Amino acid sequence: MIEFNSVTKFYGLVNGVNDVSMSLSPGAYGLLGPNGSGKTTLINLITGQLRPTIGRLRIFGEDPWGKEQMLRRIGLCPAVDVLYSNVSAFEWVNYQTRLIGFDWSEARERTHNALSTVGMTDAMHRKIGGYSLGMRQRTKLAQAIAHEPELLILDEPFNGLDPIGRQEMTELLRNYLGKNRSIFLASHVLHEVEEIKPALLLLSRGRLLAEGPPEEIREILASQQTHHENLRFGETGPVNRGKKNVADILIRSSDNYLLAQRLLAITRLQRIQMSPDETELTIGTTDLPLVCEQITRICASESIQVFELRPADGSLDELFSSLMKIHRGES
Amino acid sequence: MLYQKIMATFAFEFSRSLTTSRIATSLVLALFAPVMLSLIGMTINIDNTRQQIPFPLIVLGIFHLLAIFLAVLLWATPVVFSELEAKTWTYLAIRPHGKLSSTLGKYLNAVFWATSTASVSLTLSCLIISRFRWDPRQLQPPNATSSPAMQEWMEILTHSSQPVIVWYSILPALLLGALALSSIFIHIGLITHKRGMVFALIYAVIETIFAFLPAVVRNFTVGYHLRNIAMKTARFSPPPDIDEQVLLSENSILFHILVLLVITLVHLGAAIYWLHSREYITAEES
Amino acid sequence: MPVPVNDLGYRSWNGKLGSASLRWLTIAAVGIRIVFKSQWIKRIMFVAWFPTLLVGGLFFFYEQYVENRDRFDKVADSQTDEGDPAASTRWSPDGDSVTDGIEGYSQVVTILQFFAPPGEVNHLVDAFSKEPDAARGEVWSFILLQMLRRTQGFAVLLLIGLIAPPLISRDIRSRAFLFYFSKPITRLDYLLGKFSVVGFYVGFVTILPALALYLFGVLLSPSLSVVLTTWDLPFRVITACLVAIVPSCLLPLMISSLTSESRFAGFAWFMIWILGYVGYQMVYRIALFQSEMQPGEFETIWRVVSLYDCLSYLQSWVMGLENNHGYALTLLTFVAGLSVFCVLVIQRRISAPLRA
Repeated sequence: MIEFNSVTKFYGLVNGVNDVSMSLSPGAYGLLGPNGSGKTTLINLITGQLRPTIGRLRIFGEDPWGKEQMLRRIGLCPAVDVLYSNVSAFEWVNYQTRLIGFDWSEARERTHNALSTVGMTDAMHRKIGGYSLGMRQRTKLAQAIAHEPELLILDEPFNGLDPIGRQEMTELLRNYLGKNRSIFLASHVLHEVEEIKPALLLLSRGRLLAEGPPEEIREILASQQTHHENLRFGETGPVNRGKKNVADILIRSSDNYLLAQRLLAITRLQRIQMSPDETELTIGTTDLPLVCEQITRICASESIQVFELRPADGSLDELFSSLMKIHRGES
Repeated sequence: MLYQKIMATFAFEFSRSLTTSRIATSLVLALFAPVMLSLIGMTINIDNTRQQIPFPLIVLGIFHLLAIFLAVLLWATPVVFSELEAKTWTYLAIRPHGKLSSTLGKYLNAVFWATSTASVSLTLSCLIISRFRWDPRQLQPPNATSSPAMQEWMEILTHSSQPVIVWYSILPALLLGALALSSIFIHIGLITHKRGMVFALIYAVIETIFAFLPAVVRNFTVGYHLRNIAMKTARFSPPPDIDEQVLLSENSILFHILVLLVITLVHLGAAIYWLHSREYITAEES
Repeated sequence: MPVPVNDLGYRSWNGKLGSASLRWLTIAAVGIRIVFKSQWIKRIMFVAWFPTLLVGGLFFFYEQYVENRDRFDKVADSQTDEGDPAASTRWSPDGDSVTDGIEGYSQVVTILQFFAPPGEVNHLVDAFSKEPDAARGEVWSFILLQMLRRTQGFAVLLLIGLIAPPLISRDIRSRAFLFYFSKPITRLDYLLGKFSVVGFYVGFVTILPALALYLFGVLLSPSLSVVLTTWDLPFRVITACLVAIVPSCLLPLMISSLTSESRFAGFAWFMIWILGYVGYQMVYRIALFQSEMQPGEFETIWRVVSLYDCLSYLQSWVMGLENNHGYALTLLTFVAGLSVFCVLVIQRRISAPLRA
């Protein structure tokens, strides 16, 4: 579906994407990377809005630059906001759908369906200027799915959404995937992307650092953290504990309070925090392997069920830092 | 298919255009010439015998060319820049032929607004000048003895100054002017982006100068052809002591119409080429 | 483990604060720096100084003419004393005169004709052909005024059209007022800062070249005594420029504050100037044609329709080239009223997000 062959894109002297090679078959993909890592440039290359400076690019077997008919098969929900304040969502999505090439009546029907899918039926005739951020995000998604594209590309779709909005957006995307379509989702927040179970593509400074399923990526992170902890303790001892030495992990269990209590009794933790809805426990530690071992013991002895255990969001930086070190051959 | 997309853009842009500020701007342009004519009437009302607009064809031609120019400056120049500024260009660019259809749809919208604004203005202006008494003989000193050539020119002037003649002579020029100037300004706007209006203004100043030069260069200006179309439709000619070729050409009206259509197509073609060969996402980000 | 509670309250600044009355300078300085990044602004500013070279040449030829004329007068006087009657006829309006032969004369007339229509030039030529020393003040004023009105006027129109439209509209669009007014600056500081951004660039192509030319003229003149007869000229130049700069900068800023889309502000700016100028010129020309009045006699209140013509008249009045004080004061009142109106509208518009 998507093939990058040593693709590089320069903006003048600035390097947007640097020597990216990958081959992606239909499915779900999460493009992860910090701000300015080249995610939007990569998306613009895929949609044919930019031409690679070096390298070859094929989407559905064709060079996307200048192949406008190919855009029928792609739906894009860009990161930028909709700023037509004096038109309604229906008018705008209908216009966008007509630009795909549908006739008047079919465009109206598709618009109606798309807005209904994203839960905008009630507000679709109100002016966009009066919408909340979440409503505008859903309207953007509606214009991207109205023509039922084979490949749906989303750039930071969770930006500005409240927790309920995020949950709804995730559900929408899962449903879309269930219809045998592909999703390419760019974000800088790991767990948002993870919700739709994609293969991950990690991008930093225009370079593709790693690609693979989330489990493999996490293994890299865990091994790197352990490795770093060992190095730190060996070199400077536990006294030198800067902020970077602390790894955060997130736990969802059947009894978060009991687990927190037992952990505090036997282990020294840098921080411990319960989420407002009391479903998640975040632990900050400088000794990750030891804490993981303790958690296993406590859960076994107190019959606590662990539903989820993973690095918290902040660990994404750590992950990128680790991967960069691997690329530089420092570890 | 492309036609449907262009019309979809036109319909969408037209509905977006119906805002208070845009309608107010069009009203200002539409009322400019009538207000100015009324002002001239008030200012020159020294005595009743002299209450008149000399050369209404030329006065109204200048006012309405200006109205077309300003309307097109507002509607056509920023067709791409307005989308880039609002960051909505991406949505149009990811549709099949979206860039082309949206630009042409906006072009039609620009032509529509410019022409309708100027037409309303022209109609009102002609109604106003019909109330003024126009006697070309007042151009001469009271006791001057007119030569036959002068007599003939007075006849021509009297004919070409009738409000109805003025109306139907200027109207086609306005439509053709809107078509040609819109394409030129879209072309300028595509190249210069946010400085489009400034460059369009500079272009207009240069074009105005060139249009009055009795040289080859005037053939490449819109103003020269519009002048020929309007004056030849009204069968107007300059005074006998002025060489006609300084103002007008020897070619037929059809020739001038064809040249204007060629200018329109050339600029639209160049704009479309520019649109497809340039990475506008880069321009947006830079 | 105790949860650390950080003090997130306001921390007072212990360093030395700058004067409150100069805070607008920060907005101005930043704005000027940002605008200067534009290559087009640099190009226009560069080109806008070209006419100064031409006018500088005029100053040079004029002073050369004055000097040669002095020498010629001495010779002519001696010839008159010796009984040569032809020497008393030094200039005649048909141009075929002894004065034509004096070096610098023809160049001065040629350059003057480039800047102004023959009607205006003839009167001046008449004056400086008879008494070049006495006419210096008038000639210099005329030259500087023509430069400010014509070449610099067009440069100012373009410069303001490029700089002013986004200055406030961009802040409205990005809701930057909240950032500005979360700092200890007032709305007046904000307005003064934005005004200074435009004013700086307009002043750079108007006040500065005019003052440089005055200095150039003084340096080229036969003696420093010229300063005694033209000492008021720099003050007149500065006043004339300010009379034009204040409304010309406030008006586009007001338009900019009325919209969040800078292209509308740019369009409105050009529309006001073009429609006003063409409209007034049409009324003016037709009135002259119909009434057989002389150009200087047409002093109607409708001049306010064209800001360009209105400001040109006021500049001419300030430079001492127009003397209908009543008419000038009427126009000045209009311009002052317009400026106050612009300030009030801008103040109201920039307060709107704070009131909401």
